[in-house]
Amino acid sequence: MSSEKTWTFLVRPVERIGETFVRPLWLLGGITTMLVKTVRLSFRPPYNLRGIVKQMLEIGVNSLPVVLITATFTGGVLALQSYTGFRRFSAESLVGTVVAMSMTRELGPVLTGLIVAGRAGAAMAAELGTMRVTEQIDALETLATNPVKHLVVPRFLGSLLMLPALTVFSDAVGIMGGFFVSTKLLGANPTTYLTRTWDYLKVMDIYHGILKAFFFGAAIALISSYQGFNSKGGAEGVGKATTRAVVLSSMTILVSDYFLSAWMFK
Amino acid sequence: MNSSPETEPLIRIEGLSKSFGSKQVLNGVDLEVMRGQSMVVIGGSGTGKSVLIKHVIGLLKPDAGRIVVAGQDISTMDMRGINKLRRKMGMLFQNAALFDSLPVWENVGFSLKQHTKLSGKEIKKIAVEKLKMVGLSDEVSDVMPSDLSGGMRKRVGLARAIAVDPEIILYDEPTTGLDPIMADVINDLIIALQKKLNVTSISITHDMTSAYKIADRIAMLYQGKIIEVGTPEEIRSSDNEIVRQFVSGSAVGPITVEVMRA
Repeated sequence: MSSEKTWTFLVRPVERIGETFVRPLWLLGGITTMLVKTVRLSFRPPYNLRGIVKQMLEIGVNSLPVVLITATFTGGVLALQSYTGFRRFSAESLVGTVVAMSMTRELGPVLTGLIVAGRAGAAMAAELGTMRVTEQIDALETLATNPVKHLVVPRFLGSLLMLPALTVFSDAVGIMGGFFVSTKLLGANPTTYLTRTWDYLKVMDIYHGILKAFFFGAAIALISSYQGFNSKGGAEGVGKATTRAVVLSSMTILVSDYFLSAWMFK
Repeated sequence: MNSSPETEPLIRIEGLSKSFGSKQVLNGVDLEVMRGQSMVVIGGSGTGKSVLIKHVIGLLKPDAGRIVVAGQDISTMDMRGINKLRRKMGMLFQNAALFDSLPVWENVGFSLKQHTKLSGKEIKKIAVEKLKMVGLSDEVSDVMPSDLSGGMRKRVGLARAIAVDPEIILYDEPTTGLDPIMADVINDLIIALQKKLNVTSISITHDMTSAYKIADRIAMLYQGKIIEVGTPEEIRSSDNEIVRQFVSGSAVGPITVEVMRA
């Protein structure tokens, strides 16, 4: 008995260190497994159209006001700041180009992603987490229903489809915000501004931004669902799962954004 | 329905072991339940009673041992097989585990909606019927679960469990958290359903009043093993000190000693 205690005493710190390194791998493995399951089940009938539409409303339509307001002011501040900078070397006419490129390539998808992660991702983790700790997910299983198919697939597809849509709105409204600030407040010529915007903006800029949005949408739904599914320990556990879902989704968006940009715009 | 005596138990658990992390919860559980029988597993909180019945419906995979239900070993079955078997089973969860995004009738008819081609109208009709069986009027069918009292939630949970006309029903602490009268209503319901539907059931509880009332046989789970099985009468007059302490609800006895040492 006492030798066992000594053994535990010696091994525990090593276990702790090991855990620190193994935990992220566990997480990655868990989320990957969920991705594989979700994609496979997405193609298997019956298709839960009602569930998908409900999630599209929740994720897409209900996030729209926040996305629009954020994008308007982001476009505006971009115009304001780049105007100040560009004036130093008399390149004010390029403000429109900078706003359009920044919005479509980066800020449109990234800000939309962060908003959806904070709104819909948190809701997903909290809802699924509550279902987990109140045994509703177990109940689904006892009713011979696959909980991933029933709960994760609609959220995954809803998020995957709505993020690009929101991004398009965000792009458009951001450009309008920049246009408004430049022409009404900074005295730029509207015609020149729009010409500069259209001439230098490539379809590829928009397209790549939308591609990013698809990726962010999938990541938010998977990470948040995974955290919800694996929450335990009552209200506190659900709270922690929700926090982790938002933090991890946001980090994934910002970090992967760099690598996606480096890969697509090389 | 099936009164011919059978020698083969409908549910047979053999050497079931399960641990979570370093905590050994079940350590070689053996239990047999004959067709039509009501088995009640008693035991203290945290002794793994819930873990035990979650194995029977395939929510947990055993570390070792077998769970044979209707001649099929659940522990080696794939998801499809388990789900097929689950459609003959119903489970009442401790806090009912109703889907709070769905009104009562959709909760009750959930399985029918998932697995049959019945229309919404037909499902609702069946759901109302099942609600009637557990003593609820059709007025509650459109209520959301969050607006129900604890006893009503349990009854709706029961209606959901019997919606597919199961052969086996599992009850996870059916009377816990209810006032004594409501607890007795649930006990009567369980007995009535047992008679009417001729189901085989496993209940877990630490409520001895309920156990004596609904059980054909009682099994006591202690330290990961079944230490005694018998009729309610046999359990009531058991020589085993642990069983005696538990059923009489005394704080003094071998169980307390164990708790203190742990």
